[in-house]
Amino acid sequence: MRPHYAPPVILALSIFMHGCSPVTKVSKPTEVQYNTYPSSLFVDVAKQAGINFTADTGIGGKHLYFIESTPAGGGFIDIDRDGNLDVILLQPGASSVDQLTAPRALTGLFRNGGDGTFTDAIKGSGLDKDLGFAHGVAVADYDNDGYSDILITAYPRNFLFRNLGGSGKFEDVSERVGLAKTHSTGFATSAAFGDIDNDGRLDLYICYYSPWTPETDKPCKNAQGTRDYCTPEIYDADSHRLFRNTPKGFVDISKASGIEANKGRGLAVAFVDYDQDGKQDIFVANDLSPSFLWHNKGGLKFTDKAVEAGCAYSENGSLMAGMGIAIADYDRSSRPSMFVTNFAGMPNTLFKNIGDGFFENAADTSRIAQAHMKYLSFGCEFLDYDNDGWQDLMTADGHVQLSVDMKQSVGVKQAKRLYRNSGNATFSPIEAPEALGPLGEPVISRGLATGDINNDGFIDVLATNQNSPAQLFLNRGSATANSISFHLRGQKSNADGSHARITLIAPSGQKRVDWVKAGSSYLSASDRRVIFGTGETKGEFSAIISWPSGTKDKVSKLKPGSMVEVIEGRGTKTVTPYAKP
Amino acid sequence: MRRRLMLIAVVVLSGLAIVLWFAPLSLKGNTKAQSFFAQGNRLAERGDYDMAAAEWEQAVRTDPKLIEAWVLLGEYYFGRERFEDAIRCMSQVVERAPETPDCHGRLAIAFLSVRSELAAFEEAEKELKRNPKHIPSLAVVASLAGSGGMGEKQLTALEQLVQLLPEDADFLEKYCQSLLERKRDAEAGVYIDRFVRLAPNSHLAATYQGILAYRLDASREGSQKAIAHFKRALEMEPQALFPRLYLGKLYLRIRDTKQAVAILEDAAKKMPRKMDIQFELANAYTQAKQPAKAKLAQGRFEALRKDNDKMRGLMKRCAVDPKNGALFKETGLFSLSIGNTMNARVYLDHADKLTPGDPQIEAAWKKLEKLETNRQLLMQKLSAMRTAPQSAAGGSR
Repeated sequence: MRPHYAPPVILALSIFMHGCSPVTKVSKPTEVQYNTYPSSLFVDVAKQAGINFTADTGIGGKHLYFIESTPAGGGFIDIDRDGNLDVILLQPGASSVDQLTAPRALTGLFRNGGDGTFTDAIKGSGLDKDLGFAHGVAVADYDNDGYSDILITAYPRNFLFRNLGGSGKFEDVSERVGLAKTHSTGFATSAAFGDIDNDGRLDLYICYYSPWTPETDKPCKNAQGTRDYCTPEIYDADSHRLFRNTPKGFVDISKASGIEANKGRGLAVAFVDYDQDGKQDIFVANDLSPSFLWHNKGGLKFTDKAVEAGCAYSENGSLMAGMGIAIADYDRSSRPSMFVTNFAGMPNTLFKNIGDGFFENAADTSRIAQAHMKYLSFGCEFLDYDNDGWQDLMTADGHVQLSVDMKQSVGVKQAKRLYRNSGNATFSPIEAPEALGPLGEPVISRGLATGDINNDGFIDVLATNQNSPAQLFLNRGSATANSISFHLRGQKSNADGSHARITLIAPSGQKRVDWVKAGSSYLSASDRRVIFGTGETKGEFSAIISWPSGTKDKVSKLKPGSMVEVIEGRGTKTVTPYAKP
Repeated sequence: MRRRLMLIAVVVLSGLAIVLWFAPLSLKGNTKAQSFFAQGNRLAERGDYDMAAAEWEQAVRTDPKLIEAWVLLGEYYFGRERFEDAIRCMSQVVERAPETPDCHGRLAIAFLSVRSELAAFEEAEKELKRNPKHIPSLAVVASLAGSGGMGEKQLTALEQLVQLLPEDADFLEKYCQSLLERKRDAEAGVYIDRFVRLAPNSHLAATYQGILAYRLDASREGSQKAIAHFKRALEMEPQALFPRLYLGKLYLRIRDTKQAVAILEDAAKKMPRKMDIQFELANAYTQAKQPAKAKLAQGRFEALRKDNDKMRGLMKRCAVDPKNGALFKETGLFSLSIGNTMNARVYLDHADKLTPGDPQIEAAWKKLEKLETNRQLLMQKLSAMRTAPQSAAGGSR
């Protein structure tokens, strides 16, 4: 079956009403990419828009430290609440022994001017300091002041930056809030903010991989007999951290909560209320260790139910090299199912939520497994790229070794994978080069984040790559912005509205569900706004928002082509039409 | 006895064919050695192979450069299943006349016979560099690469074997299995159809048909179709494991938990150390709302998985630390303890070389010999192949 994709319409980047005050302007996007890929679904606008950033991971350097194979991430953040998504990109830097603690290139911070251009805003931001060997980023309004803050996981320590009122400046509050110290000699990877006790404050889960140090690093060889990065089994697994957000700062409750009991080579984390009991559970993908499904028992206690629930392992009980997590109601069951990326030669896994707290491995029957086998996937997100109302899936791929058997994998550098949801619980990979366009260009990708950078109602994608420029893929969409997007602002609940459940009701009465996500992908921060593709359906929709606090809001008379802001408990909404292409 | 003599005759005659290859090159030189050699040949022609071998031994003692005699001796010892002697002779051929047709391939088989899998693999690879269509070497690579974490090499070898020997159901079966393992379902479908035509009464053919149906159609009808394939497989081979495992998975899929529990319990009884069965059994108990039994099955699964993890970890650590005899010994002994005879063989072999004379390793070898049966099966297959003319594999001259 040939993959279907909507006939693309060439879009110029939108000009928005709101804008920040750029220090330096970059030139308008050129038509270069459009000419190279005249009919692709996405076009890479990073360079034209002013995002020139390459993460140096030290890969292929003198020592081949294990830590070099895993970074780095990036994500979206609306720094000043202007509605335009800004971009943060992490910089690990070289990793030789003498350089691990030496100054390195700065983090990337790019402000979205709302006119299709981004401005380098790192200098003077407070993020312009040595952050060590940076890995992952999580974005959340941890202090409920209305502005998104930034957590960066890094070796040898992590950082929390508080957003100073949308001014473009951030304050390093790591010490003050109790996040500067780490329990491990090793390195943290992904992190996510979520409210484990529905008190309105976002708590924090941080994955750790291994108590690795440069001194314990091992020299390894690949199948060809040449020096290469080691495989995970060489290194012991580590315990992870759960911090409770209190008025006095973050308190490490890993031991008391039960989180510390298990060890795993953690790479990805997402909050998910898988059993829909109103309490946020935590799903963690580990590298060649069983996944964790931390079931929230209440009272700040967790127990790992991954084995019992059926999401600890891949098929037949084999371990996954779990690297990224994506969560969505892909089959319109109104339940969150979970997707986990895997190593080359091992199937990506789709844990279909079958209710009552159980999952079924639907990797084969959904065709997700077969289409992946020669790729090594890290970042991933569900995204309805064509707004047909079904959640599609994208992965960021790239090998971890310097040399790979081309028969076993497509190479060290790999294309991104886009799987179209056929609407019958199966996915088909889009492989036509003319459709993939720049997504098909082979690079070593790691992070992947989604967000609508030009507010046109079509989801766009940020990809981070090892030692090649970050990519910003603009969805070329179609002439009609056939979607409704929701931006929630919590009052009693956390300000981000994280975990809120949105039920969209079509004119026919058909219901669909999505959630304000808290954590996903790999080392990356996707935008929290929720976009529902409405396909060909015309007429007025309504929506019910169920907040973590228990509050419910209903909004009605929603038409496709609009962005909706909902403030908890006020029964009010602001509807803005999408920007015109 | 008669069959054994036949085997010796066959291998010696094939050795003679190689000798003819040398004839124009080397039947000059030391006349005394040639005299022993000629006498040996005459005895062999009369079927007196033991006496012939004694003459050939005299010939190589007199003139170690007499390759033809080394070749025939190698073949003779191989036929007598005196594999160490066969290796001694064939190694001389490889060293002194590396261009001898099939010499690496023959040495590979000899090494395989004395449990030196690594050496066998290396020799087979050498043979394949010279002649990529050398069937016995392809067979060695196909059988050994999978267990050495070189699945793609295995697949490539099998792919060539099914092209060279399209009517060989054994290799076709292995190829289907490899394709299914890699989830290359579309290609697997084509070869499974061919396998079904070649071996309509093979339980494996029905099993593979079932696996494909299980994967590609999750509907109730699709599941029933897959169930029918697996039931047929069990009719043909009542002890088969995979049909039971997949029937269990299918019954779980269609929510027939009673049937799922029954068939998986039966499978677990037959194969208590199969991790995947315990895994599915735990799922079945959970679905059947039997939490206590589910917990027990999960415990058994976890224990087996931890063994698996330990195995993987040890193997990787051996790769990083190749001169650590104690580590190789631990890996070999652990492999043996969990019934992984192929790995046990590889790691004990290496440990033996690093720390010769270790009594624990000696004891492990004895235990291993009792457990090993697959190797004999492979050897039978390879021996049978040696009677086939090599021209089918693309001549090496």
